[in-house]
Amino acid sequence: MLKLAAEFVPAADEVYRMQNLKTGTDPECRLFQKFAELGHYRRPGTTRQGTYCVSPSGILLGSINSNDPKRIADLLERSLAKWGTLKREERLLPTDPRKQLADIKRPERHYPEDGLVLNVTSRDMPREKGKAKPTRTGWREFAWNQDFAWFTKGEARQFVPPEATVGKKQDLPVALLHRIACAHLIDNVRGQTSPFEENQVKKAQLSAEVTAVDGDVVSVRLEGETRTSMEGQREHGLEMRLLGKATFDLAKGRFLTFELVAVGSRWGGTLLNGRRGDADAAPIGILFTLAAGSPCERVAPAFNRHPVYRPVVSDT
Amino acid sequence: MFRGLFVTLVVALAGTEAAPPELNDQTFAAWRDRIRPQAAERCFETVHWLPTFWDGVMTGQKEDKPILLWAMNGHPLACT
Repeated sequence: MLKLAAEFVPAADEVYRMQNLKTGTDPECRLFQKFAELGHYRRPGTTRQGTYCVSPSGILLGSINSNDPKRIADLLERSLAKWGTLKREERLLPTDPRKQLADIKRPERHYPEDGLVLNVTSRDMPREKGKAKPTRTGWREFAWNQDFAWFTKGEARQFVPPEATVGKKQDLPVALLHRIACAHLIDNVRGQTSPFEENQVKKAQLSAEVTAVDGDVVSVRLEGETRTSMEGQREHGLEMRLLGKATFDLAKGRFLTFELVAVGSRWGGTLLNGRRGDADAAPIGILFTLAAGSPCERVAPAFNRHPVYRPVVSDT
Repeated sequence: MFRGLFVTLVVALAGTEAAPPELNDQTFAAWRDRIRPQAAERCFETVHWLPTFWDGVMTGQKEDKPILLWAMNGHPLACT
């Protein structure tokens, strides 16, 4: 299958924005709608999730929503056969699509090239017998999820005390703490969830202490704790302890290494995060590590439209 | 969500082992490694996905190749 896939340009994207006929009006959305409305899910109002093979001009070569490798391989073969029947003027756009890039207002254009980008991984942690209900077997047992956290160059610098002297310590500003707590210390292990609002942050503290200085490189130790909770019908929350270490190059103005572990307890559930029948408190782990900047890591944070992300993802 | 198409191995995670004790400098690495995705869990990255559909369109136009688009609710390379 990988050999077949090499005949294509592979791209991944979030479908909800692109399939929305009312709000998805930019060239990217309109091109997606052109073929998705002819694909495996055609009924109005339903998802358009799936795997699509399509020409750059938007001619649908084939589509399916399956995780069966054999069915995917068959899709790729059929699609390549259809591609081979298309004339060049049919399969390509009449104009250079790069000229339309400026018309596509998506959050990825705010990627903080000179800032701090972190991989964020979430996973259930082992449950001690007698202290938490056992996890159901199957995919839930091994579920994990990921996201990205973005910080501007100026915000990244705030993770390091202004004076690079061993022992100097400072608390991270509330704005950065709230971004971490509201948008990233969340239970998305089994599926998409909701962020917390800033008034649902009950406790948030993260300090950075200089532990070593080697020329321009400053080593810091990060330590803190958070508690976020929402009461009511969809009561849920997390209480986390954070510990981490990082190195920052003062001359380059960027992190060289970054690892922050958050472990603690989650309880409750949200509409889509798969916690039905599993709402009791149980351990969770969330890891923040430095992204390498590959194309796969340039996706905007899931909650990029939350107010906590306004300083990063804003057109003003 | 389950990225079943690209996981070829079921990784027996350390869920069957006892959890490390409280998070501190001595247990930091154990906790980190317990959370971090294993190589098999990241096997979907063996395909060099471009991060947006339009990136695929631009490259497909330039190289005269068809696009293979993986579309999910939540970005497949991020939070689904």
